[in-house]
Amino acid sequence: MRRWMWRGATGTVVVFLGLLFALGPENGGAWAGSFEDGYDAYQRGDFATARKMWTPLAEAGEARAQYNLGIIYDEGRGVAASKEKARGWWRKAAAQDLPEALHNLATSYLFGVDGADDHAEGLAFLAAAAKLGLRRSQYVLGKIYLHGRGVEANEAAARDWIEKAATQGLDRAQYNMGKIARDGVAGAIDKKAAASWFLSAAKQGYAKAQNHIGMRYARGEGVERDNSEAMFWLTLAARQGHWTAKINHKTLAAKVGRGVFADAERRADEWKPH
Amino acid sequence: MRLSVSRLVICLLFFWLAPIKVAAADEVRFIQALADQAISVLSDSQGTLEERERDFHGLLNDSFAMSLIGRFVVGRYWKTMTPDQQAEYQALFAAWVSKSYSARLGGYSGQEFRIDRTQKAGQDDVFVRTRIVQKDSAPLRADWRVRTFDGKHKVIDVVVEGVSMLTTQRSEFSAVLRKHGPDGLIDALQTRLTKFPAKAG
Repeated sequence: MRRWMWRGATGTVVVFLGLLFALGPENGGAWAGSFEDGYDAYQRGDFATARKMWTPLAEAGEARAQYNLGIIYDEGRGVAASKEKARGWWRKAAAQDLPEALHNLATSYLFGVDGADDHAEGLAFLAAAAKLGLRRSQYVLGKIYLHGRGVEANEAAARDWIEKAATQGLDRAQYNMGKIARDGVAGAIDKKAAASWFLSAAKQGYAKAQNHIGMRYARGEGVERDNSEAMFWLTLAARQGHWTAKINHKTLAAKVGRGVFADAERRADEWKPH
Repeated sequence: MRLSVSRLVICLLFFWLAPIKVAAADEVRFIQALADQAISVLSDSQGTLEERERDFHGLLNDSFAMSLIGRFVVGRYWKTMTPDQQAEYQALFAAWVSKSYSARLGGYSGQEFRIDRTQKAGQDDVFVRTRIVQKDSAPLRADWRVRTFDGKHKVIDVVVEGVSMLTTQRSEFSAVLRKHGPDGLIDALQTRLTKFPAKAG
């Protein structure tokens, strides 16, 4: 039975909302259940049951259960949050080359934001996940090399990893490839390629890329000059609250006719990221 | 000197607590409404947990004074950021707060959400002290600091088991800012948000 109870300050109000899944023993003890049963409980928000089902599996070496227990401790789902316990479970799953465990473990060490400041160790886990093909890991690794965050900056490595992630369709990586091609980082300046990368990210709804492609259409840089397209992309970026896009949008709106402005508004109303 | 005084005043406004019980029916109603909405969104049987939580993030975003909190936790670095950096940081910060606090404080199955009492905090704020009672684990104390902006209530801090969200984030962020600057903090927040969720299979 799934049950919700609410008590207000001035009295007690009990609210029943649906059924509470009352499963198994009250305290402690191992639970018989499959990984999938644990995941069903997790999806219901019954994290205590999920934890009890996954714990024996994780202790027996099941990498997915180890990884998911890491999530439970990292996010404090039904338990006191413990970054240390999370890292402990992720390490076990990472030892079995589970890519997501390697990535999450890396993010827990990088920048020292989770109470463990070991950038070098984080980088090693991140590189392992990137080599296994995770586009998020490839992108983060590329950015770290690009800006030399805790490592010596390496433009060639940065470009290589970011391009891998961009080719796999990650919007932020595509946006960064746009900047890399624009500036000729570890390669020749290629304005056409830059515009193409910005457009790919813009189509996915990435505001910064929408501002950049909008300005490229306005200037005819890497694409044919087209004020309608420029107005359209700047409208989308400005609607997302991008500060520079708002200024660019206002400036261009003063130059184009009312018809172009209205058309961009209409297209932006109907637009959906893809 | 002027900067130091203003920072001191901000800190005092945030942290000075007068232990006076107050009748704060509006603030209680506000927190109760937030909990009711959490229950409604998170206990919906449609969609995955991640999808339901994304909806809840929107609710938290509306209920927290995100821009004030975001500015406070970066302290003096705020003025060193460009407007685009500020906007990007604020968006990432709001996403991070919503994500991390909905997981810990959301209304999931098997939880009871109880409002214990209210207490005046500083000149203008009210603490709504609550307990989240969970199956098979100790109750979680969560105190919500509520401030009124133009007649609208907003949460400006959550103190979970005596640990303030504001002070925790501020100390974490200042270490990153000292080492890597505002762009580094943006990268760090972006990196945090790339974490993968639980695996289905």
